[in-house]
Amino acid sequence: MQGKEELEIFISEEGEVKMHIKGIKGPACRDVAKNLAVNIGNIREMVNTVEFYQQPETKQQIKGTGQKSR
Amino acid sequence: MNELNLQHEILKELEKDAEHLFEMETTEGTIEKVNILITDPYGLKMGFQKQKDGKYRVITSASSQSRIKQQEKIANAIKQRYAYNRVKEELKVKGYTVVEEKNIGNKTIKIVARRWR
Repeated sequence: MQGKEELEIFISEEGEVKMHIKGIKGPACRDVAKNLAVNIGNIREMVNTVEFYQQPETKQQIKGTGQKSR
Repeated sequence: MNELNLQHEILKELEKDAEHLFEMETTEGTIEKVNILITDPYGLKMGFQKQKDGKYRVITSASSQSRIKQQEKIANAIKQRYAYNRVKEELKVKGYTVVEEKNIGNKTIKIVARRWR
C-alpha cells in the first residue's frame, strides 16, 4: 500500500468537470487523471501541481542474514 | 432538482427507443429532425439532435430571449446531471470512496473521494 490518494472534483453548472489529484507524487497522477476521464469526457487541459515535480516514494526492502555483527 | 433527475432518466429511456426521429419547428420556423424531444415547463419544445461525433446539438423553439435562456438552463442542468452521474459511476468502478459531496457557490457540485493504493 503506497498511501492515500484523494480527488477533489468540481462539476460546474454547465457540466464541466475539474479534478485536483492529491497524494500522488510524480507523473503517475496524469495516468490516474486519464484513466478516470476515459469514460467521462475529453480532457481539455492538465495543469501540473507541486506534487507532480516531487520524487515518487519508493520502498526499499532490506534483506539481511539474521546474524548480528560483532 | 427532482424534476431534472426525472428529465435525465426520461432522456436515457427516450434515447434508447429513438429509432425514428421526431420533427420540431425551430425559432426560425424551419423543421429539424431530433433524436429526443421534450417539452419545457413553459410548454415550449426543446430538441436534442445527435451529431456524428456523438455530441448532441440542442434545438429550441423558444422565440424570446428569456425563454431561450430558460431552455439553456435546462440544457445545462442536464449536462451537469450527466457529468455528475458519470463521475460517481467511474469513482465507484475505480475503487474510490466518496467522503464529501456538497453544492458550493455558482451551482457547482464538489465531490471529494479517496482510495488507498
